[in-house]
Amino acid sequence: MALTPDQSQSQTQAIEFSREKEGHSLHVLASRLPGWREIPFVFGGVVFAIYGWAVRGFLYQVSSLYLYHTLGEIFNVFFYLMAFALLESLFVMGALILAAFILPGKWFKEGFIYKGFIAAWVGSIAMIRLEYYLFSLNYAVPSMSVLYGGMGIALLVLLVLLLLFQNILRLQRFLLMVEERMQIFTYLYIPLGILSLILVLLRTN
Amino acid sequence: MNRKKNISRRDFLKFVSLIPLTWLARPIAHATLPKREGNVHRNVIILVFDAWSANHLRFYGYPRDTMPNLERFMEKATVFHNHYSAGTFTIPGTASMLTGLYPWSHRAFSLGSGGIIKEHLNDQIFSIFSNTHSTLAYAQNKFADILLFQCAKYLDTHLKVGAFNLEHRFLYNFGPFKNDPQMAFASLENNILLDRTTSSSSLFVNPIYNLWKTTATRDNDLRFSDEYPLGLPDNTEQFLLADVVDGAIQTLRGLEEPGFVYFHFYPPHENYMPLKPFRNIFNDGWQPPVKPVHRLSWGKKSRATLNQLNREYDEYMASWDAEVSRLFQYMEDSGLLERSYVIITADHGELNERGERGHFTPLIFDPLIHIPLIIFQPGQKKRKDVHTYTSSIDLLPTLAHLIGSPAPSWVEGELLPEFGGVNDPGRSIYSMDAKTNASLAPLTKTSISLTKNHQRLTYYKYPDGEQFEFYNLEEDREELRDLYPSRPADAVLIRDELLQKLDEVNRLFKA
Ligand SMILES: [Zn+2]
Repeated sequence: MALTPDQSQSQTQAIEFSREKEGHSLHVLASRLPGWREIPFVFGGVVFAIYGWAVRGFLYQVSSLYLYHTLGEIFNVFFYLMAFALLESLFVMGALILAAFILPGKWFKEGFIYKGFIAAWVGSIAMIRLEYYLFSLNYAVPSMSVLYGGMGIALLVLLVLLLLFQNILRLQRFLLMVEERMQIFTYLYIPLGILSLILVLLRTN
Repeated sequence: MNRKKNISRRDFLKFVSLIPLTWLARPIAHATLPKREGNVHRNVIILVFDAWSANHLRFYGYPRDTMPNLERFMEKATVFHNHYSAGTFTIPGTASMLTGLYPWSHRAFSLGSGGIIKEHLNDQIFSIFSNTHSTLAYAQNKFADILLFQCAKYLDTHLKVGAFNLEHRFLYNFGPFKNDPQMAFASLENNILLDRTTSSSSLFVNPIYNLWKTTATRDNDLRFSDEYPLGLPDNTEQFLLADVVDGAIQTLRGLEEPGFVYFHFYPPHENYMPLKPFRNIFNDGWQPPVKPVHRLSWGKKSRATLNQLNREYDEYMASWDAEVSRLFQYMEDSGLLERSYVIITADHGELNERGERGHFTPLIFDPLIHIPLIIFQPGQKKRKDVHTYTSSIDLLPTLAHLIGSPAPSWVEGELLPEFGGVNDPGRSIYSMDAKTNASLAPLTKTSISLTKNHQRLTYYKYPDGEQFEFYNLEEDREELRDLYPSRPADAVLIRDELLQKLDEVNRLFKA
């Protein structure tokens, strides 16, 4: 059925309005996310912490692996660890972006470039503390008061650091410089992680 | 492989029409069949209890009555009094049973995910049965399960390690990882998701996983505290003894006969978690003989701790006996026992003495290698006793012999007495440990014992020194008096034999 010029015009307007609305909501959505240029800086810090820890774990194990596995098999274990580190890094980065999205913009999104980095590192240190704490308990159930206390301390440290960096520009610049240098690890570790993931997928399928 | 097929009406008519022909063909068929036809249709069922020391059974001279139900069943079986495991922990102990080889040949003796070397991958028990029997295997111990994955091509059914467990945490046999179990095990179970150590490779996931796991474990312990006052048995996944036995019974109910079945149960392996009715039943004041902490002990545990552990081990064993007796009863009531050879044994023993706990030790003493071996054969009504020294590597050639197959050329074991073998009192029986030795390198960090003529010589060879110990097992079953320092001349022959054997096996792996 042919449309009259009026009908056609109003339909075009409706589509444009809908697109505008869609664009507006996308814009609102995007405006709540950290800047795309900030993310790689934070990701560099996340990757450095997670891959560094993974390599440490591998080095702990490699001497015993060498007892009963061939060099090729040891490489395979390494690929598993690197693939897992990639997924873990993406997971942590995703959690940081989600936090920026959910929390009021001023809290975390604004200045994500240094706030995200600080949060990732405070989180990493908290996890190491948790690992050693569980070990010291011989993996018995920890008391909730200690756990909540630990979380409280971690949040407090995070808050103090965020306030400190928010107010001292020189600290921000220094951190940015560190992040810039850490980005080199992203160029090294991410391709390694992707390659490892492909190899693991090939082995398991 | 599914051997069960639905028979259609057409198939049935075809079958009926062939009956006269088969009758005519009988003499010819009979003439062409090998003599083994009589036994080839028997099931062979191996039940392995993990870390089960013969020295803790009253039948073998222990003062506590830890397994009364089993001992009742033993009255209709052939019982081996001096049977020894070739290895001292799960990997070498199980691999030796499955291959008929000493650990120095199959090379699965390191702590970890290393398995049988590829040269011997086809040299294993399932390959013997795969043409004549349906083959089914289940290992509740993850290290034994890794070995079963190596046997996969000869297995019709490989039940998961946690098939009968309460929880399911293992990843190496899950989804796509089961296509690469050994590497997935070495990476996921042995590195990424780790407890009892802080060397995990995962910075975020592992601590959260451990937090969740400890909480879930505690919740399960509380849930079942009426039944298990000390908590639930745990092999990384918690389980109930009753569930494991029920699972085994269900599996046997569906067995495609003739079947070859390998069940490797985790109990009475540590952690010792007795059922409530058995808690404190051995709070009897009895104390094992005093055995000082050994120079090479890794654990250096106090005597009080070890005595307590022994008591818990005994109480857990009694709990296991109460549950597993239902499996024996099922086999008897269902007539399965009449159609099967049933073998009950262990992969290794347990050593809660001389400072050591369990089997994480370089030491070799009787409780760690002296394991039960009980064989039920169809129609047997009275117990037979074999006192000759035998080894876990004898199982494979014996079972092959039972179904009429010749002993495979690769095996180092011999036929067991009463099952085609002879009583040879002078036979040399070796047990070895080399947890920290590279699997493809000569044995330079090893403990090897040679048991023969009621004597045992153990050679501890480590970079920080060598040591021989020599015991007369007839006069000193507890191995309290090391005769080597005072009577080295008595040990010359046995020492030379052991050193010669070590030299011989090392020659193959010298660079
Ligand atoms: Zn074991």
